[in-house]
Amino acid sequence: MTPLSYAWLIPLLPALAFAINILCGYRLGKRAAWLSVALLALSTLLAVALLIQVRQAAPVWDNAGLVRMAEVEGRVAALQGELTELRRLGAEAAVIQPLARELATLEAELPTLAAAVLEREAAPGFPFVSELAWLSIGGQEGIPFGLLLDPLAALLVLMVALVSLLIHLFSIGYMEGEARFPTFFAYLSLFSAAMLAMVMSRNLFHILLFWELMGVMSYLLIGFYYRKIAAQQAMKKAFLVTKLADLGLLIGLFWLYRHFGTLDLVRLSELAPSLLAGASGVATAIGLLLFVGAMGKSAQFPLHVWLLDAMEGPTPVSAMIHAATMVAAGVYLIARATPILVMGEALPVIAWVGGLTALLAALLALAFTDVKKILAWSTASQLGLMFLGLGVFGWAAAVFHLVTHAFFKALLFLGSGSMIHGSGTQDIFEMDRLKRAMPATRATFIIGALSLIGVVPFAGFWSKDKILLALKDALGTGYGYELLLVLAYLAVFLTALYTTRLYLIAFEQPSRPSPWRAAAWHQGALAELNMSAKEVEHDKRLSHSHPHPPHESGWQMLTPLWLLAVGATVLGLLGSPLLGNPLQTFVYYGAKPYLAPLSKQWLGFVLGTAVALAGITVAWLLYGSQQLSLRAPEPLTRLLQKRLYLDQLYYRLLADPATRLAQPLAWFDLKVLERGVKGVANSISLLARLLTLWQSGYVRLYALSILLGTVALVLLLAILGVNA
Amino acid sequence: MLTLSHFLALAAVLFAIGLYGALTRRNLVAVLISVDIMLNAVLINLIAFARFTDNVQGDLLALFAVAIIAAKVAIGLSLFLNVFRHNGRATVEVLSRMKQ
Repeated sequence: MTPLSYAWLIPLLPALAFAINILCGYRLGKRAAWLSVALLALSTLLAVALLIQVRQAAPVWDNAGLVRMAEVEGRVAALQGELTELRRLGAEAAVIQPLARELATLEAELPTLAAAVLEREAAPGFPFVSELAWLSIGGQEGIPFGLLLDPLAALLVLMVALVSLLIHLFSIGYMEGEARFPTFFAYLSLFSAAMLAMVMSRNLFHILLFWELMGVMSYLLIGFYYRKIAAQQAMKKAFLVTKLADLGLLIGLFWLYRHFGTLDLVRLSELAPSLLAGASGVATAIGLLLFVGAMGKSAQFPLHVWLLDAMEGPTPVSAMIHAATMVAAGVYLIARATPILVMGEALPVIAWVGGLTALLAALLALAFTDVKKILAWSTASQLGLMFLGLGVFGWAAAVFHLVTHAFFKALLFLGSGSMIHGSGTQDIFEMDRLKRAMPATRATFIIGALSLIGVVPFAGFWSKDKILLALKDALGTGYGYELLLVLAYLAVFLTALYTTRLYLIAFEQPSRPSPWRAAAWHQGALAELNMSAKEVEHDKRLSHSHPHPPHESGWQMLTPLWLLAVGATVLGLLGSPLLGNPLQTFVYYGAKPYLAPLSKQWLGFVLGTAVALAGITVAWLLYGSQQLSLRAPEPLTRLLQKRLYLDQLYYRLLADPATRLAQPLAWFDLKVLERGVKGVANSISLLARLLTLWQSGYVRLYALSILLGTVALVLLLAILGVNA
Repeated sequence: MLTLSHFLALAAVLFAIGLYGALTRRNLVAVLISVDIMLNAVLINLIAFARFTDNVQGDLLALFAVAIIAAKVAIGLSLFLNVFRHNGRATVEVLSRMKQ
C-alpha cells in the first residue's frame, strides 16, 4: 500500500471536523472539541504511517560518506582558490606542483565518493506523487492537483499534525466556558487542515491556495474576540500586511508560470537548472518576489508588524500561528523554492533579512512586559535564524530548526497560556512567584526556555548550531557573512537574555508594578489604534484580565505541555552529529546537508554554549540577583517600545494617503452614485404609481383605451407610410 | 353596381354603431350585442375582400370566426348571468367593482 492511498485523508479529517463543528457544533457542545481532537489524532496516526513509509522508501545516505564528501569538496574548493591565486602571482612550479597533484587525486576521488554516499537506492515510485486533472479545459494541462510526499513533506506533516493535536488538546481546558467554543475548534481544525494540505501539495498554485486559506483562518482566529476593538484592529492588520506580501508571491508565481509554463514542484525542480541557466536576473527577481510572500507570512523585518498584534487572539491560537502553522509556511515555501533560488542571487538577501530580523526581534523582546508579546518577538527572531540558514544553503539545518522550534515554541506559548490562565494577567511583572503555585508549568517552561536559548542537550541547541555551522561554511563568499555571523551570535546572546528575563520575572519574583506601566503601555498602544477612552474601558471589561492568586492548570492543559516538553528535549538528538545526523540525511534532497565532521563542530558547540550561558548569566545578574543594574537610555526604550516606529511609519506612508484618497471617493459614492441609483429607483416607482391610476377597473375606460390605442396605431402607420 | 367600397362602407358604419354601443350602453348584454355588431362588420370586410379578390381563404376565416363568436357569446352570457345572480343586475358598473 503506497502512502498515496491514505495521505489525502490527513488534511481531510480535520477539514471534516471543521465542517461538522461549524454546522452543528452548538448541538455537540463540549463534544465538538473532542471530535476535533479525535479526527486530528487520526490524522496524526496517518502522518506517522506516512513518515514511516516515506522513510522506508527514501534513499538512505551514508552519514560518514556525506561528511567525507563535504570535507573533500571543501578541500577541493580551497585548493582551486589557492592555485588560481598562486598562478596569478606567478609562483614557482615547485610550489604549485604538489598542490595540483593533490587537487587531481581529490577530484578523481569525488565520483567514487559520490557513488558510495548512497547507502540504499530510493524505492521505485519515490517520491510518492499523484496527479489529478484540475481546471483542465479543452485538453490543456490546466493546473493539475496532486500530492508530493517526499521526506520534507512527510516530516512537516507529522510535525504539524502532532503539534496541532497537542494545541487542540490544550485548548479544551483553556477555552472552557467560552461563548463560541465549538466555532473556535472549527476554525482551529481548518487551520491545521490548510497547513497539512499545503505541505503535501505538489503544485505551487495549490500551495498558494492553502496559504491563503491559512491567512483567512488566522484572520478569524486572531479576531476571535471580535468584540474587542484591539482584536478587530489586529485581525485586519494581520490580514492586510500578509495580503500585501502575498501580492509579491502572486506576481512571483505568475512570472514563474510565464517562464516555465508550469507551477508543478516536481517539474520545476527538473526544469530550473536548464531554463534558468544564464537568466540569473529572472531567477533573482522571482526568488525575491517569493521571499516577499514568505516575509509577510513568516513575519520577517520589515513585514513583521502584524505578528505582535496577532497576540490579541486566544493563546492557543498564538501557539498555533507561531509554532505549527502560518509562520512555518514561509520557511517551507522558501525551502521548496530552493531549486529556483540557487540559480539567482536572492539567497544572500534572504540570509541578511533573516539575520537582521533575528537580531532586531531579539532586541525588541527585551522591551516588552507582556509574556505573549515577548514570545512573539522570539518567534520572529527564530524565524529570522531559519531564513538565515536557508540563505546560506543550510537547507536541512533550517528545516531541522523549523521542526524543533515548532515544539519548543508551542511549549512556551502553551506554557504562557497556562501562566495567563493561572494568574489572570499577561504582564510578567504582575505575575506573583508562579513557581510556588505552578510547579508543572514551571518545569515545562524551563525546558522550553532552555531549548530556545540553545543549551545542551535540548532540541534548540542542535538545530541552532546547525544553522550557525552553515553560515560559517558560507564565510568568505563575499556577501559580508562575517558580520552576519557576529550578528547571529549577538542574537543568540539576546535570546538567552530575554528568555531568562521572562522566566525570572514571571516565576521567581513577587509581583510588582511594571516598570513601564503595562497599563499605560496598553493605553498607548490603543491610542495608536485611535481608540477612545470609552472603547479602552470596553476592551478591558471584555478581556477580563485581573490578576488573582495563581493556581495550577488542569490535566488537559498540562498533558500537552509535558508531551511537548519531551519533544523539545529529545528531538534535537535526531539531528545531532552524535547519532549521525539522521534527520539531515533523511531530508537530504540534493542540497548540501552540512555534515561537517564532529571534530569541526566542537568549536561551534563550545562557542554557542558559551554565548548562551553568558546571556543567562547577564540576565541573572540583571533580573535575578539584581547585582547589576542597567538602565537603558530613555530614547532607546521608547524606540523599542514603539516597535521602531514602524507602525507609525506605515500609517503615515500607506494608511494616511489611502484615507485621503478614499475621502473624495466616499463623497462621490455617497453623493453622486448613491443618489443616482436611488433617483432611478424612485422615478420608476413614481411612474408606476401614475400608471396604476389608469388601472381603474372601469370597463368602458379600458375599451376607450383600446380604441384610442388602435386609432393612434393606424395614424402612426399612415404617417410612416407603412401599408400592405 | 355593387363595388367593394359599398361593402367596406357598410362595414365601417356597422363598426361605428357597434363601437358606440359598446362604449355607451350600461347593460352588459347590450354591450355584448354591440361587440357582436363590431365583429360582424369585420366579417363583412373579410367576405367582401374574399369575394372581390377571388380568394376562398377569407370565407374560411369568416366561418371560423363565426364559430368562435358563438363560443364567446356563450361564455359571455353565462358570465353575465352569474354577475346578475350575484349582484341583482348586470351592468358595466358592477364589473368595475371586480378589482376590489
